[in-house]
Amino acid sequence: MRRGGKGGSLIELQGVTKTYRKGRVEVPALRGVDLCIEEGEHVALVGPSGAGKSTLLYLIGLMEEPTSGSVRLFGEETARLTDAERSRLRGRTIGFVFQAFNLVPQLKAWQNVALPLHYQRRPRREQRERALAMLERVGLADRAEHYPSELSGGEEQRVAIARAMVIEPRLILADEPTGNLDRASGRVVLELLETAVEGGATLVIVTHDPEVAARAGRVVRVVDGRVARG
Amino acid sequence: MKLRSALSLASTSLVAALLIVSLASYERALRRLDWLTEVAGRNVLLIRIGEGGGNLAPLGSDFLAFVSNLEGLVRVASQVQGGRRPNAFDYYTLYVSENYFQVRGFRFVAGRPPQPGRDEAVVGFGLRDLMGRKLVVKGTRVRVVGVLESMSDRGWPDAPLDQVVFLADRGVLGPTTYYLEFESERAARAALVPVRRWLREHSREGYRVQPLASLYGLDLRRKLRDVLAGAISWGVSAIVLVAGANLATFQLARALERIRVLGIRRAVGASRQDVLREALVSATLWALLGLTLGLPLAYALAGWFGARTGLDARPTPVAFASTALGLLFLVLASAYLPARWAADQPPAGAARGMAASLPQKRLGLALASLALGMAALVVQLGVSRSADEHTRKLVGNLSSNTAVYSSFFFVGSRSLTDPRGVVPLDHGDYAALLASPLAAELRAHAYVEAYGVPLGGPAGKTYTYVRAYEGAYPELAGARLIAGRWPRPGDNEAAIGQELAERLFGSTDVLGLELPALGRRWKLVGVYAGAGEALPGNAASDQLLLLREDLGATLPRARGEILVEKNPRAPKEIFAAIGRFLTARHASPELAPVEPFTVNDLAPEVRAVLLELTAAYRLLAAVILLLAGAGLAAQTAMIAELETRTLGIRRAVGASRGRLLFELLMPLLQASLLAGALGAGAGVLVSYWVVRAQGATWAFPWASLTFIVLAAPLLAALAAALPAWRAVRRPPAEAMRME
Repeated sequence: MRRGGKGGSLIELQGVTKTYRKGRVEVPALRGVDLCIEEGEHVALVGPSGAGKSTLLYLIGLMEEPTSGSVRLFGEETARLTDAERSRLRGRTIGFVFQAFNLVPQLKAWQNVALPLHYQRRPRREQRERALAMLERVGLADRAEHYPSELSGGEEQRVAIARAMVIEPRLILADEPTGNLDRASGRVVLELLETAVEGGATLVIVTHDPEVAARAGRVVRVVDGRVARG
Repeated sequence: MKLRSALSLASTSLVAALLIVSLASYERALRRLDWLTEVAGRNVLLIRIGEGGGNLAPLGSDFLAFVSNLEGLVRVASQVQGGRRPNAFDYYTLYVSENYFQVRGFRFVAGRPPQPGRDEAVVGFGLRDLMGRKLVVKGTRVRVVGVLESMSDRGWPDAPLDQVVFLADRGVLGPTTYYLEFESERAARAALVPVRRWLREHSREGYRVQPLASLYGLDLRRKLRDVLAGAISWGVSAIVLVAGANLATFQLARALERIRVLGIRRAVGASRQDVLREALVSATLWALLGLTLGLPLAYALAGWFGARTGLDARPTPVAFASTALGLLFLVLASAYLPARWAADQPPAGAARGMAASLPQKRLGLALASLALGMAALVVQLGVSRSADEHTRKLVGNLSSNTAVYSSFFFVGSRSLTDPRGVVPLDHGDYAALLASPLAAELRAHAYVEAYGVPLGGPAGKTYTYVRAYEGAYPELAGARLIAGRWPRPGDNEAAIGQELAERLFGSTDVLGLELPALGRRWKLVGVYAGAGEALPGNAASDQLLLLREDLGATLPRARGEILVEKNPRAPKEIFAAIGRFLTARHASPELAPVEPFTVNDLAPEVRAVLLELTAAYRLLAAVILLLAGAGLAAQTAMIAELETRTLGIRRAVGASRGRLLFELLMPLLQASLLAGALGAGAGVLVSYWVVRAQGATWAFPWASLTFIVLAAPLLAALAAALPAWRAVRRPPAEAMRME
């Protein structure tokens, strides 16, 4: 289901706004964002807390819907997609990595990694084989049968990265992936993500850490719900 | 207020309301059942002319002298049958002693009893228009000074007395009936043996002595009360159990959820006692709030049920107090145990707590509750069906479309119950009815002659009725074949009631044996189960059925009965029309008109109680379903809310809403099917045990079992669909932000 060729815009946002409603109060998170990201790019979204970086990431990942504006992904206008189509797109082409890891506590490490394959209705045997292979790539083959509560923070994040990469995504979206980790674990996580970029995936990473941002090919600053120029 | 708190409070209030309503209706049903056995004459022995013949010489002063020495005797009343036509009017008269009305328990709706030595009379309710008027009885003018209450509600033994003139006893000679009133029922029963002995020793075998209450079927009523009270008690127990389990799981889940918070409190310095106190205070407030909201809800529910079933389920102080205590205990116990656990844990352990496995625990608890609910429903169904069967067995199996025209109470020229005498129905009446246009309105009909005869077998002898029938008698009388077949014409065959078989042969394995009766030998080809008490029209289990055709002709002392079942569409008035038709054939002012007996005439108050209890059973079943459904809905809503974050994660990795909805509901449906099946299976076994423990016959509505097993997942799906849909339609990013 590859759409949009190499070198074309993978992500295209035009005039995107997002406003949250909390009771009677409207809280604008994004105030008109225009942004293009090419396939294969490694982009860091930086900016102060509450600037709208995570909201922007979730809109790109089809986890939220914009209040107004256009979000084109792989050359397709996403507003026209049904829930099933959005879910399919998310499950087959986008890998997510979160600051809080977001592993399912009732599932073992390999089952967490296999979760996207489960929703692609892959045979159970294939799910297990690919999940175990991915855990081996992130250095956690021996932790496959462990539950998230039995893993360290660094290990949990590596399981989350394995889950994001098991579908061989075209786009990886990472929200402060090293925010909860010590420096050594953070470095391992970044190296894993960069390996995916080397394999041709596009990486968009939200971070506060200048060191993480410095490793990106392009840095986009988000300030007060807008993309800052220059 | 958070959704989970609102649900928890709503469930507490609902449980409180349903418990109040169920306990109130239970209280009233038990009171009604007790009322059933409050018949007149429990302390009274009746001495009257028997049915078997024998010396009927007046008992006289010797007898009165004898009874005056009986222990516990309070007073003796008497009644002598008078003649007919006391006046130009056609009334029947009874000469009664001064204390007769008191001993019989008859109340006056107007006036007073006749005073001794004065020419006064009292009339039955049907003659109330005569109040204050003067009648001429055997040349004497008597003034009507009182009217008795209507006897029709007391059923067939007393109903004819509504048409009788009661005169003060003035030494009239005639067949006398005595009523011996004792201090207690026990004293009355104890006097049975010496009175019988006296009658035997003085060769007065023509008289029969029996407790007056047996005329009103007291033993039958007691059996009924026990069976019905047992059934309704089990129903209410089931409700209390399900309600308690629901509430406990809810409160337990709420408390488990708070364990993490309790851990944090411990970490910042709260002592074990602080934690326990806070948990108990909060639970008490919660229970009180639930109870406060539950009371108006109970009134609303009672009104709703009342409007639909006619059942009075309004809250009573006892029901409210019992619910309040039970609720408080349950809420406190289910708050205390997890709080105690949390208080005993190191703070860090409690803070990490059981959060990860909490949703699964909740689902397990909800399903256990569903299984319990289903089991309770099945027990309720089994027990009430068995109670219904047993009741039918006791009071007779006549359907509501059947009427009986009976001369059963007619002996020679006298009647035992209707003072006017009853038309002696015979086969000619039956043949005339079938030849009349009225027969077109009948679906089935039968004629039966009853003969009171002594019967004997290897295991014993007894005096009972042989019924020689023609037409669809076994079907109409509700006799059920349990072995063999019904008799065929020409071979002197008979079917024997199972109780009679036991009494004569010591077993029901009697097919092929012969039994002498009515001057010939009858081959037993069938054994049937009938009613426990001999009432007009029914075939009791202690009787013998044979074909009238084999008898050849009507024998002396026959008592004829005609049974008809009307077409379902024919009006009820057809029964009265047949009565008029039969009365006209015996046109005689000396006899009472032929009236139809329907199932409602046999024991109207018993029927009324049964109808009321049926409504109560319906209420109980509805409450059980409501509780199980509400519990499941609330638990699913809470599970879905707790799972929201995980649902968000699953959405993030590609699950669609439909898929997640399927994944949420499917295990619930499977598990609820299993829970329903297990619950229903357990319910069948328990209902069998319960019914057998009451000594009743177990019966179960098997046809509804499949429905019940399928009802569990259906109920689960209905209950879970909305909360599950609410959970999956949240945007994934928002869902993942939820704690």
